[in-house]
Amino acid sequence: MVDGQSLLIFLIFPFMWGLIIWILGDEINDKIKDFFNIFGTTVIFILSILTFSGVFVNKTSMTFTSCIGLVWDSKLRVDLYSGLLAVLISFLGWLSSIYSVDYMKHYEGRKKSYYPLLLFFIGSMNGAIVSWDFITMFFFWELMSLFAFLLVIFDRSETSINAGIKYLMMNGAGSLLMLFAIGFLYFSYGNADIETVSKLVSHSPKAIVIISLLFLIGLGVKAGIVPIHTWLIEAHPAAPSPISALLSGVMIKVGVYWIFRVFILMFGFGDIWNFIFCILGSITIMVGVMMALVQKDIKRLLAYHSVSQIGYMILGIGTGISAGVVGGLFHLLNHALFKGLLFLCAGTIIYRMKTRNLNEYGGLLKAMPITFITCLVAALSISGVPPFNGFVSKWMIYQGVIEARNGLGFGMKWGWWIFLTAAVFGSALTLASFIKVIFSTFFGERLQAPNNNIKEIGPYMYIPLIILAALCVIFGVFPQIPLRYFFKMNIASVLSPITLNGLWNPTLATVLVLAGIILGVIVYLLSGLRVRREDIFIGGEKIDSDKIRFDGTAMYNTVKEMGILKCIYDKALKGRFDAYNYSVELVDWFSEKIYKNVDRLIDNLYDGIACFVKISGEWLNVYSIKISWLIFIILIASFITGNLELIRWTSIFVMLFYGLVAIGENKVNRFIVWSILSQLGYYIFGLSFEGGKDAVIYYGMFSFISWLIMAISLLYLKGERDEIKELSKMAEKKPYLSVLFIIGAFGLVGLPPLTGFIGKFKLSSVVMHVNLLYSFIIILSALITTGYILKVIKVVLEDEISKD
Amino acid sequence: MSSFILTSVGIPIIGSFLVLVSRRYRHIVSFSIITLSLISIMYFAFSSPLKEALYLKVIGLDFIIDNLSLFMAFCSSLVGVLIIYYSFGYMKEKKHLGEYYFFVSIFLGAMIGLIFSGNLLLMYFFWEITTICSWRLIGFYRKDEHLINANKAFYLTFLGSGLMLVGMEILYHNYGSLNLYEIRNLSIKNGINISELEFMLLFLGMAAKSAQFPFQVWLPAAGVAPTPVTALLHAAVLVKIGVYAFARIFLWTLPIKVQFSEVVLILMIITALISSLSALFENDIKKILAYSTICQISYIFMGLSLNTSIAVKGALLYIFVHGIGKAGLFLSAGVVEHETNERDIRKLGGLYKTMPFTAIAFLLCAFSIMGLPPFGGFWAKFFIIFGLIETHHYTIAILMILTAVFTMLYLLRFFNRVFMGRQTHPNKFENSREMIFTIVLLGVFGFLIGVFIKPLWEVMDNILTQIGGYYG
Repeated sequence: MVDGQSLLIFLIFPFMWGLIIWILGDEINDKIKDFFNIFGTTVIFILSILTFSGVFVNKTSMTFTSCIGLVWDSKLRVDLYSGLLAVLISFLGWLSSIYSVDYMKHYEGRKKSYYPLLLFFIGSMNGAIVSWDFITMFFFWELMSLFAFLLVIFDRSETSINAGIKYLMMNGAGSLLMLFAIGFLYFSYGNADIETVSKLVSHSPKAIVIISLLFLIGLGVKAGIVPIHTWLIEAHPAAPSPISALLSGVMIKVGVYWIFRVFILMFGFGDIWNFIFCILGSITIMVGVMMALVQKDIKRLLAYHSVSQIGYMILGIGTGISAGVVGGLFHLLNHALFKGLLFLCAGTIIYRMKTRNLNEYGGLLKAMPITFITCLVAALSISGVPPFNGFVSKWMIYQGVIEARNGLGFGMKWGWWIFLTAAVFGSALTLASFIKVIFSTFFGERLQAPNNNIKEIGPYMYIPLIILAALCVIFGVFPQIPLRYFFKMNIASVLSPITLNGLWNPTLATVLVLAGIILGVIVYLLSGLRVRREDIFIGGEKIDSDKIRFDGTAMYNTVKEMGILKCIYDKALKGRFDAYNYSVELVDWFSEKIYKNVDRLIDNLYDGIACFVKISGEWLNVYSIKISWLIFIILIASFITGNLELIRWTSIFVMLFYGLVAIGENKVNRFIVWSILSQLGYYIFGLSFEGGKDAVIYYGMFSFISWLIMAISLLYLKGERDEIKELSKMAEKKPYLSVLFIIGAFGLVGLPPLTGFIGKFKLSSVVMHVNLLYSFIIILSALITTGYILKVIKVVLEDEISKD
Repeated sequence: MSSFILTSVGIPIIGSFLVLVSRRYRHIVSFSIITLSLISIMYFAFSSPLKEALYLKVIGLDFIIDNLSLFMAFCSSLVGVLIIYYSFGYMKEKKHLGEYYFFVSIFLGAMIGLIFSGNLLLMYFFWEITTICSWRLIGFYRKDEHLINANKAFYLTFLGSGLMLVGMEILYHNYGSLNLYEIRNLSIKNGINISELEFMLLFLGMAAKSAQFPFQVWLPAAGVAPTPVTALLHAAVLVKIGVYAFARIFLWTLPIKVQFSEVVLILMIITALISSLSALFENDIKKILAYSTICQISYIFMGLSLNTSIAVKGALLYIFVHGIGKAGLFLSAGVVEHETNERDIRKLGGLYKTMPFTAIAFLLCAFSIMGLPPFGGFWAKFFIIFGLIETHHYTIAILMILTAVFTMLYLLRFFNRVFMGRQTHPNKFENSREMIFTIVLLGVFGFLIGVFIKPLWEVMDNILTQIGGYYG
């Protein structure tokens, strides 16, 4: 039953249902909310199966076009790949909603916001999976980031908020780069529709390199490829455990899914991209697992393992060999199962122990048998131990890498054994790391006196664990069931047909796996021996051997202290390899520099000019009378000679000079005189032009009236006072006179709404016919006029009327 | 038709004097005159869809009514009405309310007048009225610092408008008219283009009004105003004047040449980088938002200056979205400032617990300004950056994406510091119903714009069809 309608319901239902729970909010109690939520996620799960059942049975793929309120008609796609992810997301969402019933109890009264967010998150992930054009995909992608952010900061503790901020920053930056890539794609191909673009790419590739680099960063951030994985380490532990399970289990897979879609299905890159992906994959595997080895925080450890496992998927997809690609996709499915399971197990342990520190665990085997068994299954799965599912998919990835050596690929020919070593050794270290987890959690003794309250968890929590563990075993023992589905995928159309015989002829791979396991055991034994030896004698004092407690996390201190590794580890744990920290520091440094040296500089420049004008005004004010005589003489002389240029420049000097003098003036009376003298300069200046007479009459009338208003009101305002300074707070004492004064003053500047500005406009346009420079001088002089009137107005207004 | 101009422009301007007279009900009067104006704009826009731009003379003054001016007037008056409603709560215990409401309403009236004016001189007339209003409102509290900053704003915008006046004179000299409609017809008929000098002078005036490089410093300083006023300056009126004048003159009247748009792009990228980085360093809540405005306005200028229809549409859309979003941000910050009397983000924290609505409204608006889908800001930013790519400005596009990242950084830093973390003011709550209602409404608006983008997009289409020229 694949039709557009069921797909639409599948997409919209989570949002509607979440909204209903949110609106009901306080009206219903927590029990009903639990029920509502489980019902909702169950419906989503069923809908996902219904929607994609046609795909599973007939392997048909279909594209729908529908408008979901966006600018574009968005295209949605139902096929084997999107089906895999959509069902997986719905399934894991369903399980974690069941799990949340008990787990979220200690967030008192906050389920009303938690459940809607959970549903929105599931809905937006589904949307990001089924989108078939990049605009819609980006829309849901960002929605997914947003809800994930809100869930990461759900604790509202300092750490979780910081983690959330880091998550949003890194992903935001990544998605903005992706936005750019999409824009570029749209521009180059005139289309953001994946099907059309992939056809166009194969015919006439354009600007592929820059698009794919941007996509690689944008998608890689979400997938958690080293070195842009660092948000994952902070955000996954910070979220509540069921959410960590979703984040690690499916959200980062959405990134992998799109890497697969874009790079394999759409662009179909060969050689060099394969090589790049293999390198990235191998590095991711090694960095993730090496860092996981030395973690003390159980969720951080799991987060590092997520990074490492993502490396396997990237490596598998990157081989470009059918077996490898299918292995990568299969590993995606498997990882969702066992990593979801591991986070849920960690959740139960944290739920009981109230701490995430591995050192404080111990001896939980008896108290929590179900958790132990499921956790063991998951640990063995993730380490790739047969007969669990991780083994099968990893095996296929190994095979892909081995087969890749036959390709003509650049570097693959020589590099394949490095990749293989990384993958196999990574597996071994994963096992070693999980031995530590299992040991320090379930065996040994606790640091504090054993607490009798620690008991097995309730059914809401263990049912999801059991389901997931069972699936891990089933998919491991009968890999044909899921694999049959994967083989239906039409990968052969893009790549070489899959060769099954390689899959069942695994001598080399088996040997390597066994070698890996042995290596892991050796590391375990070695480190164990050494720590034991050291721990017995603390401070030279002999300790009762019964009380000796073997510290689980100290197990790999040996690894940590090995020469070069030690140096690297020290730096890594301090965040020295975190590109995010560097960029934050860089941006901080840069912003300080820009703020202080550019922004403030410009500000100070203006202040400096203002200061300069003021000081020069004060200085000129001292010599005002003497210079006035001089001006008078020059004016008379220029009138006699009749030299127009001389008259103009003298009058300009008059305008500017008396304006500046007025700025530097302290006495009210003299200020009034200077202001009219400055205006006189305008009149003479205007009259010296042909046709300036009308403009001057027009302008002069208004400016003179304004001046009169200003002068009279100022004289009344000042009363007995002499100094401008003493006019302070006048606006409060004599408001009407002050308003009159301000109106007159603005009229003098020639500022609308007072009509003086038309006169100024006329004057200025007359002047402009002779020389454009004169226009600018009029503007300059208007500025100086503004300077002296605002100076007085400021004093008049000065007051404090704010309430503080 | 002329009755429309009289109601939409006349009522606020004449009515604002009524505010002075009415003593106890001045806030109601102010609110109702702007609402009347908004209603008349909406009524006109919906009842008689315009095919052609309408040019008319009312009491001897030239006015133009077209989709662009209707859209812009709608944005400004809508945000204006909300801000006045917010002031009911914010300004309750303040003195000089008559002065406040008088200037706010005449400010909005002058803005609407400027939007509809069809003559450069008339435009300049309203332009300077807004300068005076903003000058008085920035220095409203009349402390020394406030008055100095108000004067700084006055000087810088007056410098810009003086330069613009010279530019207008040159235009008058060349075309023999200041009537925009006539200039447009002349330029279409004779194919005359605007010269470098005219362009630079007019553009500097707009840049000064919209606080762009090198005039940007007055806007952060203007943060000393009462918060509703700051919101008004940033979201509805003052900085949008420059943007609108750009659209009116350089898109509608005299389409600019490509080399001019290069100049605009370079100035804008400088502005955007300086302001977004400064916002990261600044600690004063209002100054952070002021720098953010400067950066966002440069987006709008960029979009308008690119000669592609998609970028112009994005920029026009951003005028609206930014108006809503930035008003919401300022008003939320205003709630924080009003209740705690604190403006330093280092001294604030944990307000989410006592002011949940403010925090949520802030976050919603911040998402919109950051450009996260499905909020309105995303579409606008996307189309502007898209336009940059379309015209092969790859470097600028990458830098703009970078500033978008910075925008995200400083808004999240703001949110993180003020609303999250350690609680500093455990006893301060949201008291005012009016204030909370307004900010929540604005936050929801920002979201709804993004979701129902399609009808809005059609409005943009209509505007561009009417502008014609490159985009017809």
